[in-house]
Amino acid sequence: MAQALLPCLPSDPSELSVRQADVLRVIGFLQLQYGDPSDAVVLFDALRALYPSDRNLPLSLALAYLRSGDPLSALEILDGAMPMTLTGQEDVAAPRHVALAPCYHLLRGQALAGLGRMAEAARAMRLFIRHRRLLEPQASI
Amino acid sequence: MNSLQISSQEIGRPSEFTNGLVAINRSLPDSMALPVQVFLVSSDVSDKPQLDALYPMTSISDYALNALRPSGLNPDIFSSACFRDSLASIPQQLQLLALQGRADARKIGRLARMLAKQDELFRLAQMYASALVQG
Repeated sequence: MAQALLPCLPSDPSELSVRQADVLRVIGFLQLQYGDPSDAVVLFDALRALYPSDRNLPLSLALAYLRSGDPLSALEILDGAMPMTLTGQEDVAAPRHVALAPCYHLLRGQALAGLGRMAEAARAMRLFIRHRRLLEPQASI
Repeated sequence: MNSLQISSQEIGRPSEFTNGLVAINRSLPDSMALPVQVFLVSSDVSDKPQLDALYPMTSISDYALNALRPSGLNPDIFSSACFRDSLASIPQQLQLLALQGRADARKIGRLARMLAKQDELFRLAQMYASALVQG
């Protein structure tokens, strides 16, 4: 009965409801955009633990690390959590992965630049441009 | 003497600069027309040079943020009551999850403690959701 009155709460106490998870995603996005990026790190780190198969979350966490001035942690997340096949031919059939490829390389380039590894950063930025052009042929860069 | 050639005597000494300008002005012939003001634009510059291309991508950081914008959200969460109920229940739910002995309990407990202190952000999120609902 209580569930009928409160449909937004989880039916299983061992996990967040879909709506609760969505609300947390919205809050995380707001924190990245307007709030304290170190709070966004805490949020996306926990969400990533709860939803390890969500490929958006490592990138959000990496961006939060970058914005809080920690490029090394951002790079570790990107290199460790993201499969190397993200940009490979194997993933061409997975639109969401391909859609994330430019963002992945962009964040990686920013992390490498933040660490002073400019040659690798330039390579990552070239990959960003290449993958973006594949997705958006009309894009300005 | 040509009317445009003005002697230093007519201009005056440096200490009489204002009077000198008056002398120059009076010495111009009435028939002499001033050049018409025009805007010089290079022929290869269009009226809207690439602005349409620049506006959608204000910065590289914005690109990453836009790419990571939450998508596929359950539309129910944008009803005010559902958003408020979900929001209010999240810290307690996370505390329950953290107490279940999971390997990632520390991360989840940390998030629960952080959210419990963030009333301000919750209000902001509520406003964001309301704005989306109202279009």
